[in-house]
Amino acid sequence: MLALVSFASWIALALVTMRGSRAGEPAQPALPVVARPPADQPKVGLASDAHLDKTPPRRTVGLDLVRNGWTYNCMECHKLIQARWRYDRPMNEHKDVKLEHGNNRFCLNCHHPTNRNAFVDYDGAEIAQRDVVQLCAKCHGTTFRDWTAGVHGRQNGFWKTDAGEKTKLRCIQCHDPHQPKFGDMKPLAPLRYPTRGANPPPAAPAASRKH
Amino acid sequence: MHPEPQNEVSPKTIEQVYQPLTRRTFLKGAAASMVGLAGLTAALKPLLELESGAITLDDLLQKHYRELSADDLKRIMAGIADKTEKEHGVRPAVRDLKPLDGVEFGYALNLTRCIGCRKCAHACLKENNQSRDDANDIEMSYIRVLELDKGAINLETSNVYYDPAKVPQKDKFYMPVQCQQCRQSPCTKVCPVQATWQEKDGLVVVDYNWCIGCRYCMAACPYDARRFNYQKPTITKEAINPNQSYLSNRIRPKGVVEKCTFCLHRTRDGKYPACLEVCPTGARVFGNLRDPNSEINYILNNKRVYVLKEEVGTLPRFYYFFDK
Repeated sequence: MLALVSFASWIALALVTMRGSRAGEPAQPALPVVARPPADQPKVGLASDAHLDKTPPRRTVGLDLVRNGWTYNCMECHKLIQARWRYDRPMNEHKDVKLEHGNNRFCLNCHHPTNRNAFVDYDGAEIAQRDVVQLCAKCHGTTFRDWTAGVHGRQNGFWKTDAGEKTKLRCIQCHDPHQPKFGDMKPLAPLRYPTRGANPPPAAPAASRKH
Repeated sequence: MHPEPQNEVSPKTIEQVYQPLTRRTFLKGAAASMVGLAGLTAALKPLLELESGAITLDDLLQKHYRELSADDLKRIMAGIADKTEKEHGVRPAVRDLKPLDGVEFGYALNLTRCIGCRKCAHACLKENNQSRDDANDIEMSYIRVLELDKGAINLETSNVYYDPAKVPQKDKFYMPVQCQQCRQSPCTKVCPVQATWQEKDGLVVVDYNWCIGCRYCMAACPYDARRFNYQKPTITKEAINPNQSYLSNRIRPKGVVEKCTFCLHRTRDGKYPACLEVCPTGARVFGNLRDPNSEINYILNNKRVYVLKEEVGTLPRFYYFFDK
Protein backbone atom coordinates (compact mmCIF):
# COMPACT_ATOMS: atom_id res chain seq x y z
CA MET A 1 0.00 0.00 0.00
CA LEU A 2 2.75 2.35 1.04
CA ALA A 3 4.67 1.42 -2.10
CA LEU A 4 1.64 2.19 -4.21
CA VAL A 5 1.21 5.56 -2.59
CA SER A 6 4.86 6.49 -3.01
CA PHE A 7 4.82 5.27 -6.56
CA ALA A 8 1.71 7.29 -7.36
CA SER A 9 3.17 10.39 -5.79
CA TRP A 10 6.38 9.91 -7.75
CA ILE A 11 4.44 9.58 -11.04
CA ALA A 12 2.57 12.75 -10.21
CA LEU A 13 5.83 14.55 -9.49
CA ALA A 14 7.32 13.32 -12.77
CA LEU A 15 4.32 14.43 -14.75
CA VAL A 16 4.38 17.86 -13.16
CA THR A 17 8.08 18.25 -13.92
CA MET A 18 7.74 17.09 -17.50
CA ARG A 19 4.83 19.38 -18.15
CA GLY A 20 6.79 22.23 -16.65
CA SER A 21 9.79 21.65 -18.89
CA ARG A 22 7.70 21.10 -22.01
CA ALA A 23 5.94 24.36 -21.54
CA GLY A 24 9.33 26.04 -21.63
CA GLU A 25 8.87 27.65 -18.28
CA PRO A 26 11.98 28.56 -16.31
CA ALA A 27 10.86 26.32 -13.43
CA GLN A 28 13.71 24.22 -12.02
CA PRO A 29 12.99 20.54 -11.48
CA ALA A 30 12.61 19.68 -7.86
CA LEU A 31 15.90 18.44 -6.48
CA PRO A 32 15.56 15.20 -4.62
CA VAL A 33 17.22 15.04 -1.26
CA VAL A 34 20.26 12.76 -1.42
CA ALA A 35 20.09 10.92 1.81
CA ARG A 36 22.96 8.49 1.35
CA PRO A 37 26.49 8.80 0.05
CA PRO A 38 27.46 6.94 -3.16
CA ALA A 39 29.17 3.58 -3.40
CA ASP A 40 31.76 2.51 -0.95
CA GLN A 41 32.68 -1.13 -0.71
CA PRO A 42 35.02 -2.70 1.81
CA LYS A 43 38.61 -3.54 0.98
CA VAL A 44 39.51 -7.08 0.00
CA GLY A 45 41.84 -9.10 2.18
CA LEU A 46 44.88 -8.26 4.25
CA ALA A 47 47.60 -5.81 3.33
CA SER A 48 50.23 -8.43 4.16
CA ASP A 49 48.93 -10.69 1.38
CA ALA A 50 50.04 -8.51 -1.48
CA HIS A 51 51.61 -11.49 -3.23
CA LEU A 52 48.20 -13.11 -3.64
CA ASP A 53 45.94 -11.89 -6.42
CA LYS A 54 42.62 -11.41 -4.71
CA THR A 55 40.85 -9.57 -7.53
CA PRO A 56 37.18 -10.48 -7.67
CA PRO A 57 36.03 -11.74 -11.09
CA ARG A 58 33.88 -8.71 -11.89
CA ARG A 59 35.40 -6.39 -14.48
CA THR A 60 33.54 -3.32 -15.60
CA VAL A 61 34.70 0.13 -16.52
CA GLY A 62 32.73 1.70 -13.72
CA LEU A 63 34.29 -0.50 -11.11
CA ASP A 64 37.75 0.32 -12.36
CA LEU A 65 36.97 3.98 -11.81
CA VAL A 66 35.80 3.28 -8.29
CA ARG A 67 38.90 1.18 -7.65
CA ASN A 68 41.06 4.08 -8.70
CA GLY A 69 39.45 6.23 -6.10
CA TRP A 70 36.96 8.10 -8.27
CA THR A 71 33.67 8.42 -6.46
CA TYR A 72 30.95 9.54 -8.71
CA ASN A 73 27.69 10.91 -7.56
CA CYS A 74 24.84 9.66 -9.75
CA MET A 75 22.64 12.51 -8.70
CA GLU A 76 24.93 15.06 -10.32
CA CYS A 77 23.24 14.14 -13.60
CA HIS A 78 20.07 12.52 -12.44
CA LYS A 79 18.81 15.52 -10.60
CA LEU A 80 18.07 16.76 -14.12
CA ILE A 81 17.34 13.52 -15.96
CA GLN A 82 14.19 11.75 -14.98
CA ALA A 83 13.95 8.03 -14.48
CA ARG A 84 12.38 5.91 -17.14
CA TRP A 85 10.80 2.59 -16.50
CA ARG A 86 11.93 1.04 -19.72
CA TYR A 87 15.47 0.46 -20.75
CA ASP A 88 15.73 1.75 -24.30
CA ARG A 89 18.71 3.09 -26.21
CA PRO A 90 20.70 5.31 -23.88
CA MET A 91 21.70 8.47 -25.69
CA ASN A 92 25.10 9.07 -24.22
CA GLU A 93 25.83 7.46 -20.89
CA HIS A 94 25.32 3.87 -19.78
CA LYS A 95 25.83 2.52 -23.27
CA ASP A 96 27.92 -0.26 -21.79
CA VAL A 97 25.08 -1.41 -19.58
CA LYS A 98 23.65 -4.58 -21.04
CA LEU A 99 20.88 -5.96 -18.92
CA GLU A 100 20.96 -9.76 -18.76
CA HIS A 101 19.52 -10.47 -15.38
CA GLY A 102 16.84 -13.04 -16.13
CA ASN A 103 13.34 -11.78 -15.62
CA ASN A 104 14.60 -8.72 -13.84
CA ARG A 105 14.36 -6.39 -16.82
CA PHE A 106 13.47 -3.00 -15.40
CA CYS A 107 15.94 -0.43 -14.12
CA LEU A 108 13.69 0.69 -11.32
CA ASN A 109 13.30 -2.81 -9.92
CA CYS A 110 16.63 -2.13 -8.29
CA HIS A 111 17.44 1.56 -8.73
CA HIS A 112 15.62 4.09 -6.65
CA PRO A 113 13.36 6.23 -8.83
CA THR A 114 14.29 9.56 -7.30
CA ASN A 115 17.64 8.99 -5.60
CA ARG A 116 19.97 7.38 -8.10
CA ASN A 117 22.67 6.96 -5.48
CA ALA A 118 20.52 4.43 -3.73
CA PHE A 119 18.64 1.23 -4.44
CA VAL A 120 14.99 0.70 -3.81
CA ASP A 121 13.37 -1.59 -1.27
CA TYR A 122 10.00 -3.31 -1.54
CA ASP A 123 8.23 -0.33 -0.04
CA GLY A 124 10.07 2.34 -2.00
CA ALA A 125 12.50 3.02 0.81
CA GLU A 126 16.12 3.70 -0.03
CA ILE A 127 18.85 1.08 0.31
CA ALA A 128 22.35 2.50 0.44
CA GLN A 129 24.84 1.16 -2.08
CA ARG A 130 26.94 -0.27 0.71
CA ASP A 131 23.90 -2.30 1.82
CA VAL A 132 23.46 -3.74 -1.66
CA VAL A 133 23.18 -7.20 -0.11
CA GLN A 134 19.77 -6.19 1.23
CA LEU A 135 18.68 -5.35 -2.30
CA CYS A 136 19.79 -8.67 -3.78
CA ALA A 137 18.26 -10.54 -0.87
CA LYS A 138 14.85 -9.34 -2.05
CA CYS A 139 14.95 -12.10 -4.66
CA HIS A 140 17.93 -14.31 -3.80
CA GLY A 141 16.89 -15.36 -0.33
CA THR A 142 18.66 -18.70 -0.14
CA THR A 143 21.85 -17.23 -1.48
CA PHE A 144 21.60 -14.46 1.06
CA ARG A 145 21.23 -17.07 3.79
CA ASP A 146 24.40 -18.82 2.63
CA TRP A 147 26.24 -15.53 2.29
CA THR A 148 25.28 -14.55 5.82
CA ALA A 149 26.66 -17.86 7.04
CA GLY A 150 29.88 -17.07 5.19
CA VAL A 151 29.53 -19.86 2.66
CA HIS A 152 28.46 -18.11 -0.54
CA GLY A 153 31.12 -15.84 -1.95
CA ARG A 154 34.62 -15.42 -0.68
CA GLN A 155 35.84 -14.22 2.66
CA ASN A 156 39.32 -12.91 3.19
CA GLY A 157 41.50 -12.24 6.18
CA PHE A 158 40.99 -14.14 9.41
CA TRP A 159 38.82 -17.21 9.92
CA LYS A 160 39.49 -16.83 13.64
CA THR A 161 37.33 -13.88 14.50
CA ASP A 162 39.18 -12.95 17.68
CA ALA A 163 42.53 -12.91 15.87
CA GLY A 164 41.71 -10.29 13.27
CA GLU A 165 39.35 -8.83 10.79
CA LYS A 166 37.42 -10.85 8.24
CA THR A 167 36.38 -9.14 5.03
CA LYS A 168 33.37 -10.39 3.16
CA LEU A 169 32.84 -9.56 -0.48
CA ARG A 170 29.48 -7.91 -1.24
CA CYS A 171 27.33 -9.24 -4.11
CA ILE A 172 28.28 -6.58 -6.64
CA GLN A 173 31.99 -6.83 -5.92
CA CYS A 174 31.98 -10.12 -7.82
CA HIS A 175 28.76 -10.11 -9.83
CA ASP A 176 28.04 -7.38 -12.32
CA PRO A 177 24.45 -6.66 -11.31
CA HIS A 178 23.43 -6.11 -14.92
CA GLN A 179 24.98 -9.45 -15.99
CA PRO A 180 25.31 -11.47 -12.83
CA LYS A 181 26.59 -14.62 -14.47
CA PHE A 182 30.38 -14.83 -14.40
CA GLY A 183 32.10 -14.50 -17.73
CA ASP A 184 34.58 -17.09 -18.95
CA MET A 185 38.14 -16.73 -17.74
CA LYS A 186 41.50 -17.45 -19.23
CA PRO A 187 42.99 -20.23 -17.10
CA LEU A 188 46.49 -19.77 -15.74
CA ALA A 189 49.14 -21.93 -17.38
CA PRO A 190 49.32 -25.64 -16.57
CA LEU A 191 51.97 -26.40 -14.01
CA ARG A 192 55.13 -28.32 -14.78
CA TYR A 193 54.56 -31.24 -12.47
CA PRO A 194 57.21 -33.95 -12.50
CA THR A 195 56.33 -36.12 -15.47
CA ARG A 196 55.40 -39.72 -14.98
CA GLY A 197 55.44 -42.56 -17.46
CA ALA A 198 51.80 -43.42 -17.03
CA ASN A 199 50.47 -39.90 -17.49
CA PRO A 200 52.83 -37.69 -19.46
CA PRO A 201 51.57 -34.25 -20.45
CA PRO A 202 49.99 -34.20 -23.94
CA ALA A 203 52.47 -31.60 -25.14
CA ALA A 204 55.36 -29.79 -23.53
CA PRO A 205 53.86 -27.18 -21.20
CA ALA A 206 54.45 -23.67 -22.40
CA ALA A 207 57.83 -22.40 -21.29
CA SER A 208 57.22 -18.76 -22.11
CA ARG A 209 54.72 -17.52 -19.62
CA LYS A 210 54.41 -15.06 -16.86
CA HIS A 211 53.43 -15.44 -13.26
CA MET B 1 115.88 -89.09 24.10
CA HIS B 2 115.08 -86.57 21.57
CA PRO B 3 112.70 -84.08 22.86
CA GLU B 4 110.31 -82.68 20.34
CA PRO B 5 111.46 -79.22 19.46
CA GLN B 6 108.79 -76.90 20.81
CA ASN B 7 109.52 -73.80 18.85
CA GLU B 8 110.51 -75.31 15.64
CA VAL B 9 108.72 -73.69 12.74
CA SER B 10 108.37 -75.68 9.63
CA PRO B 11 109.07 -73.91 6.32
CA LYS B 12 105.65 -75.02 5.16
CA THR B 13 103.92 -73.10 7.90
CA ILE B 14 105.77 -70.01 6.98
CA GLU B 15 104.63 -70.48 3.40
CA GLN B 16 101.10 -70.63 4.64
CA VAL B 17 101.40 -67.53 6.76
CA TYR B 18 103.37 -65.40 4.37
CA GLN B 19 101.66 -66.21 1.11
CA PRO B 20 103.53 -65.00 -1.90
CA LEU B 21 101.77 -62.13 -3.66
CA THR B 22 100.09 -63.73 -6.61
CA ARG B 23 98.15 -61.83 -9.28
CA ARG B 24 94.91 -63.28 -7.93
CA THR B 25 95.36 -62.15 -4.35
CA PHE B 26 96.53 -58.74 -5.46
CA LEU B 27 93.40 -58.14 -7.52
CA LYS B 28 91.19 -59.42 -4.72
CA GLY B 29 92.76 -57.09 -2.26
CA ALA B 30 92.64 -54.15 -4.63
CA ALA B 31 88.94 -54.68 -5.35
CA ALA B 32 88.12 -54.98 -1.68
CA SER B 33 89.92 -51.80 -0.79
CA MET B 34 88.25 -49.91 -3.65
CA VAL B 35 84.84 -50.91 -2.34
CA GLY B 36 85.84 -49.93 1.14
CA LEU B 37 87.16 -46.59 -0.02
CA ALA B 38 84.01 -45.85 -2.01
CA GLY B 39 81.89 -46.68 1.01
CA LEU B 40 84.00 -44.48 3.21
CA THR B 41 83.73 -41.58 0.77
CA ALA B 42 79.98 -41.96 0.63
CA ALA B 43 79.77 -42.12 4.39
CA LEU B 44 81.89 -39.02 4.76
CA LYS B 45 80.10 -37.04 2.07
CA PRO B 46 78.03 -35.13 4.61
CA LEU B 47 81.30 -34.08 6.20
CA LEU B 48 82.47 -32.74 2.86
CA GLU B 49 79.20 -30.83 2.55
CA LEU B 50 79.77 -29.67 6.07
CA GLU B 51 83.16 -28.40 5.00
CA SER B 52 81.66 -26.50 2.06
CA GLY B 53 78.88 -25.08 4.22
CA ALA B 54 76.02 -26.77 2.35
CA ILE B 55 74.81 -28.25 5.63
CA THR B 56 75.59 -27.34 9.18
CA LEU B 57 76.55 -29.46 12.14
CA ASP B 58 73.09 -28.77 13.54
CA ASP B 59 71.52 -30.35 10.47
CA LEU B 60 73.72 -33.38 10.85
CA LEU B 61 73.08 -33.96 14.53
CA GLN B 62 69.52 -32.65 14.71
CA LYS B 63 66.91 -34.66 16.58
CA HIS B 64 63.34 -35.32 15.40
CA TYR B 65 61.11 -32.24 15.52
CA ARG B 66 59.01 -33.64 18.33
CA GLU B 67 62.04 -34.35 20.48
CA LEU B 68 63.60 -30.95 20.08
CA SER B 69 63.74 -28.60 23.01
CA ALA B 70 62.47 -25.09 22.47
CA ASP B 71 66.01 -23.69 22.52
CA ASP B 72 67.28 -26.23 20.00
CA LEU B 73 64.39 -25.52 17.67
CA LYS B 74 65.01 -21.81 17.95
CA ARG B 75 68.65 -22.31 17.06
CA ILE B 76 67.75 -24.56 14.13
CA MET B 77 65.21 -22.10 12.78
CA ALA B 78 67.79 -19.34 13.02
CA GLY B 79 70.09 -21.63 11.04
CA ILE B 80 67.41 -22.07 8.36
CA ALA B 81 66.97 -18.32 8.17
CA ASP B 82 70.74 -17.87 7.88
CA LYS B 83 70.92 -20.39 5.07
CA THR B 84 68.06 -18.76 3.17
CA GLU B 85 69.69 -15.38 3.59
CA LYS B 86 73.00 -16.72 2.35
CA GLU B 87 71.53 -18.52 -0.68
CA HIS B 88 68.68 -16.21 -1.66
CA GLY B 89 69.48 -12.85 -0.13
CA VAL B 90 66.34 -12.52 1.99
CA ARG B 91 66.11 -13.22 5.68
CA PRO B 92 62.75 -14.88 6.34
CA ALA B 93 60.91 -14.92 9.65
CA VAL B 94 60.90 -18.66 10.32
CA ARG B 95 58.48 -19.53 13.08
CA ASP B 96 57.22 -22.62 14.80
CA LEU B 97 53.47 -22.47 15.21
CA LYS B 98 51.85 -24.99 17.52
CA PRO B 99 48.31 -26.33 17.01
CA LEU B 100 45.60 -24.17 18.54
CA ASP B 101 43.47 -25.61 21.32
CA GLY B 102 39.98 -26.69 20.33
CA VAL B 103 40.72 -26.39 16.64
CA GLU B 104 40.49 -29.04 13.96
CA PHE B 105 40.70 -27.78 10.43
CA GLY B 106 38.28 -28.77 7.70
CA TYR B 107 37.98 -27.69 4.09
CA ALA B 108 35.08 -27.83 1.67
CA LEU B 109 35.04 -27.13 -2.05
CA ASN B 110 32.01 -26.32 -4.16
CA LEU B 111 32.45 -28.07 -7.51
CA THR B 112 29.55 -26.20 -9.09
CA ARG B 113 31.38 -22.95 -8.49
CA CYS B 114 34.90 -24.04 -9.46
CA ILE B 115 35.70 -22.89 -12.99
CA GLY B 116 39.17 -24.40 -13.26
CA CYS B 117 41.09 -21.12 -13.49
CA ARG B 118 44.10 -22.59 -11.58
CA LYS B 119 44.51 -19.48 -9.47
CA CYS B 120 44.68 -21.64 -6.36
CA ALA B 121 47.46 -23.80 -7.76
CA HIS B 122 49.56 -20.79 -8.69
CA ALA B 123 48.90 -19.04 -5.38
CA CYS B 124 50.12 -22.22 -3.71
CA LEU B 125 53.44 -21.92 -5.52
CA LYS B 126 53.85 -18.35 -4.36
CA GLU B 127 52.77 -18.87 -0.80
CA ASN B 128 54.85 -22.01 -0.27
CA ASN B 129 58.10 -20.76 -1.80
CA GLN B 130 58.25 -23.30 -4.59
CA SER B 131 60.49 -23.26 -7.65
CA ARG B 132 58.86 -21.48 -10.53
CA ASP B 133 61.16 -18.92 -12.09
CA ASP B 134 63.20 -21.02 -14.44
CA ALA B 135 61.50 -22.64 -17.46
CA ASN B 136 63.23 -25.91 -16.57
CA ASP B 137 61.95 -25.93 -13.03
CA ILE B 138 59.56 -28.54 -11.87
CA GLU B 139 56.54 -26.83 -10.37
CA MET B 140 55.15 -28.86 -7.53
CA SER B 141 52.05 -26.98 -6.52
CA TYR B 142 50.25 -28.97 -3.85
CA ILE B 143 47.03 -28.53 -5.81
CA ARG B 144 46.19 -30.36 -9.00
CA VAL B 145 43.14 -29.02 -10.80
CA LEU B 146 41.59 -31.90 -12.69
CA GLU B 147 39.34 -31.42 -15.69
CA LEU B 148 36.63 -34.07 -15.75
CA ASP B 149 33.84 -34.94 -18.14
CA LYS B 150 30.40 -34.04 -16.91
CA GLY B 151 28.21 -36.94 -15.95
CA ALA B 152 30.54 -38.84 -13.65
CA ILE B 153 33.46 -38.32 -11.31
CA ASN B 154 35.95 -40.37 -13.26
CA LEU B 155 39.46 -39.51 -12.16
CA GLU B 156 41.00 -42.03 -14.56
CA THR B 157 40.07 -39.94 -17.61
CA SER B 158 40.77 -36.61 -15.95
CA ASN B 159 43.23 -34.17 -17.40
CA VAL B 160 45.55 -32.01 -15.33
CA TYR B 161 47.25 -30.32 -18.31
CA TYR B 162 44.14 -28.77 -19.90
CA ASP B 163 44.80 -25.37 -21.45
CA PRO B 164 41.84 -24.01 -23.43
CA ALA B 165 41.45 -20.32 -24.23
CA LYS B 166 38.55 -19.98 -21.83
CA VAL B 167 37.29 -21.88 -18.84
CA PRO B 168 34.89 -23.36 -17.90
CA GLN B 169 34.43 -25.56 -20.97
CA LYS B 170 30.86 -26.49 -21.63
CA ASP B 171 30.96 -30.25 -21.11
CA LYS B 172 33.61 -30.27 -18.39
CA PHE B 173 33.81 -29.65 -14.70
CA TYR B 174 36.86 -29.02 -12.57
CA MET B 175 38.06 -30.59 -9.38
CA PRO B 176 41.04 -29.28 -7.45
CA VAL B 177 42.72 -32.04 -5.45
CA GLN B 178 45.17 -31.38 -2.65
CA CYS B 179 46.09 -33.06 0.62
CA GLN B 180 42.87 -34.28 2.22
CA GLN B 181 44.39 -34.29 5.74
CA CYS B 182 42.96 -37.75 6.37
CA ARG B 183 41.96 -38.93 9.81
CA GLN B 184 43.26 -42.40 8.85
CA SER B 185 46.26 -41.23 6.89
CA PRO B 186 48.12 -44.02 5.04
CA CYS B 187 51.14 -41.79 4.44
CA THR B 188 51.97 -41.41 8.12
CA LYS B 189 51.63 -45.13 8.71
CA VAL B 190 54.17 -46.20 6.10
CA CYS B 191 56.91 -43.72 6.94
CA PRO B 192 59.88 -45.82 8.10
CA VAL B 193 61.41 -42.99 10.13
CA GLN B 194 58.22 -41.31 11.38
CA ALA B 195 59.13 -38.09 9.66
CA THR B 196 55.45 -37.40 8.97
CA TRP B 197 52.59 -37.41 11.43
CA GLN B 198 49.22 -35.91 12.26
CA GLU B 199 49.13 -32.88 14.48
CA LYS B 200 46.50 -32.21 17.12
CA ASP B 201 44.54 -29.95 14.77
CA GLY B 202 44.39 -32.62 12.09
CA LEU B 203 47.14 -31.33 9.83
CA VAL B 204 49.48 -33.94 8.42
CA VAL B 205 52.96 -32.45 8.52
CA VAL B 206 56.49 -33.48 7.58
CA ASP B 207 59.73 -32.77 9.41
CA TYR B 208 61.69 -31.86 6.31
CA ASN B 209 64.97 -32.22 8.18
CA TRP B 210 64.11 -35.76 9.29
CA CYS B 211 62.68 -37.09 5.99
CA ILE B 212 65.01 -39.51 4.21
CA GLY B 213 63.26 -39.18 0.86
CA CYS B 214 62.24 -42.82 0.45
CA ARG B 215 58.87 -41.77 -1.03
CA TYR B 216 56.90 -44.57 0.62
CA CYS B 217 54.32 -41.95 1.62
CA MET B 218 53.87 -40.90 -2.00
CA ALA B 219 53.15 -44.49 -2.94
CA ALA B 220 50.70 -44.83 -0.06
CA CYS B 221 48.72 -41.64 -0.71
CA PRO B 222 45.53 -42.36 -2.69
CA TYR B 223 45.19 -38.68 -3.66
CA ASP B 224 48.64 -38.06 -5.12
CA ALA B 225 48.97 -35.20 -2.68
CA ARG B 226 52.68 -35.45 -1.89
CA ARG B 227 55.54 -34.04 -3.90
CA PHE B 228 59.20 -34.98 -4.05
CA ASN B 229 61.89 -32.34 -4.34
CA TYR B 230 63.90 -33.64 -7.27
CA GLN B 231 65.94 -30.48 -7.63
CA LYS B 232 67.44 -27.86 -5.45
CA PRO B 233 64.70 -25.23 -5.25
CA THR B 234 65.37 -22.14 -7.33
CA ILE B 235 63.54 -18.99 -6.43
CA THR B 236 64.36 -15.34 -6.89
CA LYS B 237 64.83 -12.92 -4.07
CA GLU B 238 61.66 -10.99 -4.86
CA ALA B 239 59.55 -14.12 -5.09
CA ILE B 240 60.33 -15.37 -1.59
CA ASN B 241 57.50 -15.24 0.89
CA PRO B 242 59.22 -14.26 4.14
CA ASN B 243 56.37 -15.51 6.33
CA GLN B 244 57.68 -19.02 6.87
CA SER B 245 57.34 -21.79 9.37
CA TYR B 246 59.41 -24.85 10.16
CA LEU B 247 56.70 -27.37 9.31
CA SER B 248 55.25 -25.72 6.23
CA ASN B 249 56.61 -23.26 3.70
CA ARG B 250 60.27 -22.73 4.53
CA ILE B 251 62.48 -23.44 1.53
CA ARG B 252 62.77 -27.20 1.58
CA PRO B 253 66.01 -29.07 0.96
CA LYS B 254 66.42 -31.23 -2.13
CA GLY B 255 65.49 -34.87 -1.78
CA VAL B 256 62.62 -34.66 0.69
CA VAL B 257 58.90 -35.16 0.32
CA GLU B 258 56.69 -32.16 0.90
CA LYS B 259 52.97 -31.56 1.04
CA CYS B 260 50.05 -29.22 1.61
CA THR B 261 49.62 -28.23 5.25
CA PHE B 262 46.55 -26.02 4.73
CA CYS B 263 49.12 -23.18 4.93
CA LEU B 264 49.62 -23.77 8.63
CA HIS B 265 51.80 -20.67 8.89
CA ARG B 266 48.63 -18.77 8.01
CA THR B 267 45.84 -20.89 9.43
CA ARG B 268 47.41 -21.34 12.87
CA ASP B 269 47.66 -17.56 12.92
CA GLY B 270 43.92 -17.41 12.33
CA LYS B 271 44.13 -16.50 8.63
CA TYR B 272 42.61 -18.27 5.67
CA PRO B 273 44.84 -20.47 3.48
CA ALA B 274 46.27 -18.88 0.34
CA CYS B 275 44.24 -21.01 -2.09
CA LEU B 276 41.03 -19.75 -0.52
CA GLU B 277 42.18 -16.14 -0.52
CA VAL B 278 42.55 -16.06 -4.29
CA CYS B 279 39.57 -18.16 -5.40
CA PRO B 280 37.66 -15.82 -7.72
CA THR B 281 34.35 -17.66 -7.45
CA GLY B 282 34.37 -18.33 -3.72
CA ALA B 283 34.24 -22.09 -4.23
CA ARG B 284 36.38 -22.76 -1.17
CA VAL B 285 35.20 -22.87 2.43
CA PHE B 286 37.58 -23.31 5.34
CA GLY B 287 37.02 -23.47 9.04
CA ASN B 288 37.20 -25.11 12.42
CA LEU B 289 35.35 -28.43 12.59
CA ARG B 290 35.06 -28.23 16.37
CA ASP B 291 33.32 -24.85 16.32
CA PRO B 292 29.60 -25.55 15.77
CA ASN B 293 29.08 -22.08 14.28
CA SER B 294 31.93 -22.25 11.79
CA GLU B 295 31.46 -22.00 8.05
CA ILE B 296 32.68 -25.53 7.48
CA ASN B 297 30.08 -26.88 9.89
CA TYR B 298 27.39 -24.91 8.09
CA ILE B 299 28.39 -26.78 4.93
CA LEU B 300 28.44 -30.16 6.65
CA ASN B 301 25.04 -29.53 8.23
CA ASN B 302 23.26 -28.01 5.24
CA LYS B 303 24.86 -29.31 2.05
CA ARG B 304 25.29 -32.76 0.63
CA VAL B 305 29.01 -33.31 0.87
CA TYR B 306 31.05 -36.25 -0.27
CA VAL B 307 34.66 -37.23 0.17
CA LEU B 308 37.04 -38.34 -2.49
CA LYS B 309 37.70 -42.11 -2.67
CA GLU B 310 35.51 -42.87 0.30
CA GLU B 311 36.03 -46.59 -0.28
CA VAL B 312 39.68 -46.49 0.74
CA GLY B 313 38.67 -45.52 4.26
CA THR B 314 40.96 -42.57 4.80
CA LEU B 315 38.27 -40.34 6.35
CA PRO B 316 39.42 -37.06 4.80
CA ARG B 317 38.93 -33.65 6.38
CA PHE B 318 38.42 -32.28 2.86
CA TYR B 319 34.87 -32.32 1.51
CA TYR B 320 33.44 -31.72 -1.94
CA PHE B 321 29.91 -30.62 -2.68
CA PHE B 322 27.74 -29.39 -5.51
CA ASP B 323 25.68 -26.34 -4.73
CA LYS B 324 24.63 -23.20 -6.53
